[in-house]
Amino acid sequence: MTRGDRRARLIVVGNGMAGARVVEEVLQRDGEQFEITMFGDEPHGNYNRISLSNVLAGSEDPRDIFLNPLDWYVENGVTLHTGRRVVAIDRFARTLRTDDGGVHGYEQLVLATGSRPWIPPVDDVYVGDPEHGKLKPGVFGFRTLGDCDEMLAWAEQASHVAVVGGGLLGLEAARGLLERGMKATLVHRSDRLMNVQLDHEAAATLQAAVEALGIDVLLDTSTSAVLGEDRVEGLAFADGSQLACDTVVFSTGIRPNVELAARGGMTVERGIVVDDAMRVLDEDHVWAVGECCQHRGELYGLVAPVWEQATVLADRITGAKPTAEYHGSKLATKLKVSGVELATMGLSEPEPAHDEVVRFSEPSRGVYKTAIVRDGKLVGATLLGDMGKVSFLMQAFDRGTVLPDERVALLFDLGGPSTEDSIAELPDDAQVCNCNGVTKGDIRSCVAGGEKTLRGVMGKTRAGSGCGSCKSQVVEIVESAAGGALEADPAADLYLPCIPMPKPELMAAVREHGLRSVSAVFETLADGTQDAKAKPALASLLRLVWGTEYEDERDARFINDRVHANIQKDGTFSVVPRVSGGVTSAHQLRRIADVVDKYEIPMVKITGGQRIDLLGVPKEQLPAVWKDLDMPSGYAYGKSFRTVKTCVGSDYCRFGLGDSTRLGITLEERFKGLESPAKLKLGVAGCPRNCSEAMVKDVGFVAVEGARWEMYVGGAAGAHVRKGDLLCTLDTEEEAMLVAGRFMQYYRQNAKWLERTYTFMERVGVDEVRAVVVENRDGDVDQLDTAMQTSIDAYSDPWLEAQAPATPNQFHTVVTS
Amino acid sequence: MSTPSDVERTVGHISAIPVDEGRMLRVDGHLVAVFHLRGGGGGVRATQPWCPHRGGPLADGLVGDATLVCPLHGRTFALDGGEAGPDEVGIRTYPARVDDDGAILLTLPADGPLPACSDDVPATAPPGPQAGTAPFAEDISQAPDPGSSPR
Repeated sequence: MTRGDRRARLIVVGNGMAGARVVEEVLQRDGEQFEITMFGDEPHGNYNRISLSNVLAGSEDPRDIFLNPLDWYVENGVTLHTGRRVVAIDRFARTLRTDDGGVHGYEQLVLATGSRPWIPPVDDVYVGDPEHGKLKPGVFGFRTLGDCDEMLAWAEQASHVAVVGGGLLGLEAARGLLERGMKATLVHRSDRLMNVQLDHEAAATLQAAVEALGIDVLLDTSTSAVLGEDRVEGLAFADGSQLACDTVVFSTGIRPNVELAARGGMTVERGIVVDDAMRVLDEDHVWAVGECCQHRGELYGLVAPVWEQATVLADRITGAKPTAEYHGSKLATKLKVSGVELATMGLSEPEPAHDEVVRFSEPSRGVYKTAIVRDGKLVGATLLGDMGKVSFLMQAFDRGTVLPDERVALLFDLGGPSTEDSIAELPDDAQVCNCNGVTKGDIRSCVAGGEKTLRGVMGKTRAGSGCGSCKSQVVEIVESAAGGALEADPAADLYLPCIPMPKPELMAAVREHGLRSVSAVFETLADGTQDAKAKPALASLLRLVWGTEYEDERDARFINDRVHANIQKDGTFSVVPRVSGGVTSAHQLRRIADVVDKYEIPMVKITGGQRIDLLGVPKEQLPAVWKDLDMPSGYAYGKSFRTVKTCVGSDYCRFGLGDSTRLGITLEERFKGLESPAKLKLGVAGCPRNCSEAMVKDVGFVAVEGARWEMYVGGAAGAHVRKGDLLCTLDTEEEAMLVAGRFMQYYRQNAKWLERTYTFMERVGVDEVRAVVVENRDGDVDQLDTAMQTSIDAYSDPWLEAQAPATPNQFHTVVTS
Repeated sequence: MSTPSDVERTVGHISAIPVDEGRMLRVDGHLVAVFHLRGGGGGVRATQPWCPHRGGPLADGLVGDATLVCPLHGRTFALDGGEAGPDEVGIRTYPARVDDDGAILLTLPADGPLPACSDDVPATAPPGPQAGTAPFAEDISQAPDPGSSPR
């Protein structure tokens, strides 16, 4: 068999961060000389594994952590086989075999097989035959996007997680699941958290900070068995005690994937043994990189060493630098647990004979800092609770630079320049992004080369795209390098990816061309290309522009808005009638109870928005349920104004300063069902005790002394937690209604699709919003009032469609001819 | 690819499905999701009824340019061929067309009505009453007459 392509064949086994990084580095150095093929176990492109903790915690979208989307492989002529395993290597014939029987020849082979979580020998971790162990339902490792997905799906019906292993990843997993509303207990064998990186005092300070977040910590506790017959019910410990829980995450370290190399006859100890060239010992054509390899006796589980290895490997394999050598890495790491700041580097304990130690401890504030100096150089440091000096220390640790004579200056700025200034004063060769090895100079020259947007600079240099902890420094350097010429990222303001216009521009184009339906917008502004996912966004925008003149095409609506109910995981729907301000009556409750009985509704739930949710209603029954309820829709399914949560207010409460229920009901009656870029949840509190949580609502009012109302906007207490910005204080309920309407209209006109007010306020800024909405700086309030009134006038209760369906078979999933 | 031995049969009328929406139709006791397209010259497309990811009802999904989005978690599939997003499991599709009278004609594989698989039960049987069947009750008494046009 002959090949058309005469280039040397480079095969990379493993499509994780290490494998993909090698290919990237090779491509940068005359990659044309190779025909490149990659094999990956996981069914996606390459993603940033460091960000999995953020995905678990919900602070990052899984889609945003991809480093190399599949397009990248195509664009660079790299053949990627996903989900296909390499099962054997014949290093003499220079071929490898895949699990489907395919045989692939190579001239150069790179093993980047990574590692897998190691689960300690604990009883009853597996169900069925322990040889072919399947983890007991509820037991997880924490390693891949798949693990993350499964954990999150499981977490929906679970309430208490025990994380076994008190290292970096264990802490991040516990925090992530805590964010998802679970109770979290951290179980650790050692006598202190992060015992590899921290000394006793630092660990104690960290433990206090972690416990303050709400995570229970069990130290000196060795897990002996997982309890529960066919799913997790708890853990048993070596001392005989037990812990009840329904989820277990093992974060007890990793083991390199070396089996393939070992079967192929390569030298394997703990990892695949490589020399300083990153070549597998005694092999001319096989290389290894990343967590699967062992270099000078060391295994590395952090990202910075992997990058350094990939660089050397690429230098060698392409011949760009035939003498390049890897000499090992210095280890520094940061914990990504929101609410706890921790950076460690190098040694945690000094060797008493020669080392100088500078230590500062203030446990009541959760601050602990230490620096270890040997022969005038920094060999270790820990910063907990105060990251003021982190860039300076990282720099000193990495480069071995000269330290200040006054050692205390290692830990504090002594009346000197503030942290911000110290970033400006960093030398150009100072490394800013430790994950990707990007220096301040790299960032500055990228800006000088014409890249004027933050996203562009981050894309080109990769600064800030690892763990993300240096992002604020990157922003600062880019801003100063651009000298104020930093351009806003155009994509950041687009309403939709398929039509390249910011929202105000898109609204103007829609008006100008008289586009009243979603299909007309696609026809005129997107060359006739319909984007299914963009339909609901456009429908929302058109309704905002045209009000009653909008030509409603039902197919542009998400299923929830087609049938005015919220689809559930089993395809049934939930029904939430409007109960304005959460005030109901015996009559309403009786009717709801009758409906529940009549339709045998399986679950009735009081919602967080003070309403009653009827769950498990088949689509076919929705019209009948609505008719019998004889209540209007609560819009609990739409991107719209949802509900106003209120406290008891002044009628009965002995602390009430304002009539919160009345204002809540008036707000809900006026703005009910209002179309919006994302859902709007409001709250009104009758006094600053804030029982209805008004400060963490999209719009919230809090009554204060003197019968006045404080208005908060952009609050959140869901996936994100943010206290709302105090927009203004208003004298009367009428004013409160007016400004609420103006704010919501301004938000409707300027927010991106699905952009909640908390993101919107961060993006626009409270000063700007106040200037427009409260101070009427631009003379816009009349337009806002008029537009809002038009939308309010267009309201009709969608549940009236029970009488007259809007489309054929509107409430039928299955149609029989 | 149709072969002469494949069976083509009428499964419903186009007026039962609003434009650019989908509904499930019954064939020999199996369910098939059928979509009535606005773009690309109109016509219909037919797929398996449940999303391979978590068993979402595909007929309730958004449709645009022969692309289908599952309503539960946004998995995307090509209505022609059933291909999924990168490295995700695709869905089965069946050749389908509309004749001059508006009848929807579905071509079934020659070796049986539909492949003997658990098409009628979502991949992960969801909890709840009579998992998988309750939401799609057979009550069709409110279905409009075939022949009334979608508005």
